[in-house]
Amino acid sequence: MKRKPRTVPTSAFSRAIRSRAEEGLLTVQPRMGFAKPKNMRAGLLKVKALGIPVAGTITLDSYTRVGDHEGALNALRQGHDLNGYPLVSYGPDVTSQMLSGVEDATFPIQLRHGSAFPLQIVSAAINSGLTSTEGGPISYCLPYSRRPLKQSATDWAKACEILSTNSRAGVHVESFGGCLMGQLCPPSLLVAISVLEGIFFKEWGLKSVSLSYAQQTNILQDIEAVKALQALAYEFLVDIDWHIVIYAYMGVFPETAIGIQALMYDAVKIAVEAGAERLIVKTAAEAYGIPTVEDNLASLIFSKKCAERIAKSESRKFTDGTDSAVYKESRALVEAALNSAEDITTALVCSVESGRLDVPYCLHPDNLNRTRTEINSQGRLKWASVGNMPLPRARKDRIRSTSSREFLMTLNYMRNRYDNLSREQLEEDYGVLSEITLKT
Amino acid sequence: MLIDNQERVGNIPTTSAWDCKRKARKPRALIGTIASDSHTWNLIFIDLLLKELGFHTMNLGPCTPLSLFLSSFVNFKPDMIIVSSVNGHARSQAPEIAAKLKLIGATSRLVAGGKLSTGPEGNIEIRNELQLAGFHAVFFTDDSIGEFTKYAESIKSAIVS
Repeated sequence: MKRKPRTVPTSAFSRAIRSRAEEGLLTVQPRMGFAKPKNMRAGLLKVKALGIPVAGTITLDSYTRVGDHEGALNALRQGHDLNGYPLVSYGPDVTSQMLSGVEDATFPIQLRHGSAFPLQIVSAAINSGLTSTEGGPISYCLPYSRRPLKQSATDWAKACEILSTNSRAGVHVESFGGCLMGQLCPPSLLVAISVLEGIFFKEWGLKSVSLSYAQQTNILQDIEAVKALQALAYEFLVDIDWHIVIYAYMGVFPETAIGIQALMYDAVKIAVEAGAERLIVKTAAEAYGIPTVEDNLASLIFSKKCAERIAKSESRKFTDGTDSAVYKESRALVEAALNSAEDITTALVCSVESGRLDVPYCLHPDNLNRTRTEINSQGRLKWASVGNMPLPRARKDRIRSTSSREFLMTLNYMRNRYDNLSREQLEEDYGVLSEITLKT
Repeated sequence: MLIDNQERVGNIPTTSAWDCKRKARKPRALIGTIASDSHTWNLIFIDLLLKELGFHTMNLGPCTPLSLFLSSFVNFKPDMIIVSSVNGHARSQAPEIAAKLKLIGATSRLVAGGKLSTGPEGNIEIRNELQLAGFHAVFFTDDSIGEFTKYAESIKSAIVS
C-alpha cells in the first residue's frame, strides 16, 4: 500500500523524538513525580545527565488528577507525602523556577497526569512553560474516573483548544488509548481507541500527537498491533505529526530479577522491531512500590542497551501491518465509531454508551462492561465475549463466570510466566541478559 | 398467627420456618476505595472473592466519592464495608471515611487493605492509625487475601448464627 509521507514534526517534543528515530535511536522515558519542587528538579536533572536519548517526565499526584487541589495542599501541610507533583496547587511561578534551564532541544519533558479533568492541569502546564502532555477523552475517563464521559470529552475538547491556541513552541499530546485498564484487553480495542483519540486531537486543532500501545501477553501479537496502529495512523492522521509510544507492561509485574529484566527486554524488543519511536519504561520496583530516581535511571540505561543490541541483530521482516487480524478488527472498530455520528466527540461518546466500544472489566457507569478477555494457549489475548462491538462473535460468546482464583491467575499471568522462565527459554530468548544487567 | 403458611405454636414459629429465615439472609458487603484512587483490579477481585464466599456485593468502583459511600451505606445496609486502596494515599484519605460513617451511625464492620502508604515501611504504624480512626481490621501483609477471607467468613457466620 502506497503511503503518504509523514508530516514533519510540529512540536519541540516531537522534533527531539523523531530526529533520534531517524538515526535509529529509541527514546526511553520514565514515569517520575515528586511532591517537592527541589526533588522534582533533581530527578529531572539526573535523567538529563544520563546523556542518552531520553525524555523527562513530570507525573502529577492522585489528588491533582481528580481535581482536588485543596486535598493535595492539605496532605502536604499534614506532612504526608504525595505520589506525584501537584502542578496546579503550586502555581506557574514555582514550576517555572523548578524547570529553569532544565528542558532543551536534547531533553524534552512531558507532563503525565492521567486525569479526566484536564482543564486546570493543561492551563497550569501552559503557564508554567510545559508543552507536552498526554490523556484523551476516553482513555483517562473510563478506566480511571467516574466522571460522565460526555463531560470528560467536552473538557478534553476545550483542553485541546487551550493547548493549540496558547503555545508558540507547538504543543504535543499523547493518547493513552493504547493502555486503558493496563491489562486484559485484546489489542484491537487498544489500537482503535488510540487512533480515535488521535483523530479527536486532530479535529480539535492539535498538530502534533503520539499514539500509545501497552505491552501485553504475546510479543508477536503486540508487534502486529503496533504495525496496525501505524497503518491506521498513516491513513487517518494524514496531515499531522505523529509517532508511536510503547508502554512497558502495566499489569502485575514479576518479582524476580531475571523475570523483571526479561519483561523489560521484551518491551524494548516490541518497540524496536515494530519501529516505535519512544518507550516508557518500568522499573525493578514495580512489584513493591513507587520507584526511586535510581530505579528509573537503572531502567533507562538498561533499556537503552537492550535497544542497541536488538537494533543490531537480525530483525524480522514485517509487512505494512494491514494483513493481521488485529488490523482488521481495529479498523472495523474505528470505522464503526466514526460512522456513528457527524462529529468526533459525539461519535466517541455514543460509541462507548452503546457498547460499540466496550472496555473489558471497566466499571465506569458509561461503559457497558459486557466484553471479556481470555488468554489462549499461545498467550494471545482473545475476546471471550464481544458484547455489542462490531466484531465476529467469540467462540463461546458469553460472560463465563470466572472464579476469583482464576481471575487472580489471569491477572498474574505475566508475573508467573516471567518469574518462571526455563533455562532453555533464558538461553534462547534472553541470552543477551547475561551481558546487559539491570543495576538495582 | 401464621408465618409463610407454616403452623405455629403460640407466637413461636416452628423450627423449620425459623431455619428458612436464617438461611435466606446473605451477608452484604460494600466495596469501594478512596476518592483519589483510580485502580480497579483490586476492587474486581474482592468483589469476585466475596461473591464466592456467599456475600451479596455492591462495588462502587474507582475514585469512590465519600458521599457515595454514605448513601450506599444507607440504601444497601452492608454488614461489612471494604476500603481497598493501592495508590498509597489511604493513610491520609481513609480516616475520613471512617469518621463520616460513624457520624451517620454506621455499625457495619469497616476494613481497609492494600498499599496504604507511599513506601513499604511503617505498615504497622498505619494499621494502628487506621484502627484508631475507626477501622475494625486492616490487611496489608503478604497473606492479606487469606486473612481477609477468614475475616469475611467470620462475619458471615456471625450473621447466620
